[in-house]
Amino acid sequence: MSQSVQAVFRSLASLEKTVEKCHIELDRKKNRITFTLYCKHGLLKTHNLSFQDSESLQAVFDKDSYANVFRAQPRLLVDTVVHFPPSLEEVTVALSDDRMWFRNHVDDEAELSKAMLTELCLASDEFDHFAVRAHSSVTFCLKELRGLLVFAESTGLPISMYFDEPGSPVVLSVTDSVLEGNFVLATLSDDPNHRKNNTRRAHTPPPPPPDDFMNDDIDSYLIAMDTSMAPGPSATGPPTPPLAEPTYSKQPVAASHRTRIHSEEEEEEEEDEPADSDGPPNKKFCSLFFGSVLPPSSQMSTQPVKSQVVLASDSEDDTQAE
Amino acid sequence: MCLRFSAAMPLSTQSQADDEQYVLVASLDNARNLSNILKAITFKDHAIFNATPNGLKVTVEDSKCLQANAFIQAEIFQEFTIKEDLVGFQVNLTVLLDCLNIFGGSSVPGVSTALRMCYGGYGFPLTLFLEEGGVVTVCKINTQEPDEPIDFEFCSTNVTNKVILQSESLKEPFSELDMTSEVLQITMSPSQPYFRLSTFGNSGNAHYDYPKDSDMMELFQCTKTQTNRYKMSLLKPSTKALALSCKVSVRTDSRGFLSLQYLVRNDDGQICFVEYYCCPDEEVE
Repeated sequence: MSQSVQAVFRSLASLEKTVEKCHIELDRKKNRITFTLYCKHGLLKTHNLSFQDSESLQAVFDKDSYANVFRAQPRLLVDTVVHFPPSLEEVTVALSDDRMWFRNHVDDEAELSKAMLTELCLASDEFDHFAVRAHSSVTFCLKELRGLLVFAESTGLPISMYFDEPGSPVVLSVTDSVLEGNFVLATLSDDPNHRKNNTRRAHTPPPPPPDDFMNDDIDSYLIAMDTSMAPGPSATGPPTPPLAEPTYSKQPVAASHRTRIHSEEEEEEEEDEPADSDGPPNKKFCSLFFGSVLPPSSQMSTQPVKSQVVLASDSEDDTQAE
Repeated sequence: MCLRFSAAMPLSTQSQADDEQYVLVASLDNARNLSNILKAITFKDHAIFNATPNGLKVTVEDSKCLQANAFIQAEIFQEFTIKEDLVGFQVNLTVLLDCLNIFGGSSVPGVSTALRMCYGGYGFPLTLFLEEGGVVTVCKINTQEPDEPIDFEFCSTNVTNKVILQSESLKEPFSELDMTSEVLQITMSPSQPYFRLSTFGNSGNAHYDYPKDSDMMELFQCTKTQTNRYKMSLLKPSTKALALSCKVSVRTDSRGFLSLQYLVRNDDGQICFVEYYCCPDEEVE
């Protein structure tokens, strides 16, 4: 029936120009719903659509009891999902205290070696609200997410996201004075991420350690970009099986960079928690890839200045990285 | 059909002697003034051309139930010479349109294709001389003996209901007509709903009502309530004519036959007409 209704409201542009009023009437006896569009110049469009009563699924959820709550402008998520191929069915969202990762979900472990893996990291300060009480990782349908993002973007309203454990639905909510939309998406109940032979995901919290991508081609690219850096092996971090394909990822590469610096400059003191230092650098890294320079975060300020120089190859004051 | 390309031979240097052989010569500085209007009736391959000293009439028919006519008066042409009272032939309209657009048909301002259309009479091909930018193309299209166009016997004295609407108001409804509906029903009445288009599709029905006092309604002359259905597949092609037109007159006669007349302004602002005649699918009182 939604296609029939879509036909009534087919051309949004012309609707905005010509329709003055829309009247919707439901006739239960005749199983009919009538849309009457009062248009300019006295033109009246009447659409009588018949419908069948059907059982609607009632999703059982209590979003207020969910462990993790976020709120963001739709643009943030739109810009995130655009990096995934249109054919991708499912996406996995992993959480830590101050980060949210989006990864494409690969069903079959055997396909892992052939698949292109994409991963994006969003920092907590990119959200209007970011509250994590349980570090979990849920997998749900990306296509549905894309659909609701189109709607949310058109309303301009922030999206609230409620995540819980794998198996519990994720709820995305758009609210204003005239509407409340709750998009409830089922999640995989036994998140295969937990089964993956990948240490960074095997345990709840940890974000991937930087050495994941030591062998990435992208490392050498970064090295080439900053000739003051001498490439060297990293001795820090747990050894992890390298991903078979070079992976585009915002965070781990620079993290590996940073780790490399740490290994070379052994006199450095790491004040942060290992999880944090292993954690991906945030926007600073993004700026390396995307050419803009952002002020260092509070985290970064605890780092030796030298590492800042490396990451912000374009505009920071030069202090030699040694 | 055969094509011959030659360069730097403007149409005007065609020798007068050549003209002696033609029973019909029609020239246009801008071939689009012909091709655009022909596009409004191209729902079938073949078209019947009938030329009189008044001008050119091109007819396309479908299943003996639908007829579309395009009228291009003699005054539209820069040259219109006819040696007989009536010159008729039949050609493949698709091929003709392809030839008229042979220079690509893109509308660069100031650049147009000039056309000289010549017909030698029975048995001769239709010869088109097309020129753009100094390049001349000669196309010769085979002609056939013209079929007799159906006479729908639609005369104004028999007209029961007539409205003239500004095309703007009909364009959108026509383009969004529910194509799952087999018929388009037209109701015309001196009382509510005055003028109504209805479709009956898979998911339900839709009605488009035009009140008689709408500012889009230029003329409203309905004498009796009539509801007629016409096959959607027959009427849908008329959307092209509607798109080109600025005004449309809708008339039904006592038999329920439908006449749609479209007023089309060409590139130079001159007026041409396109009309569609359609038999009713069934009578619904």
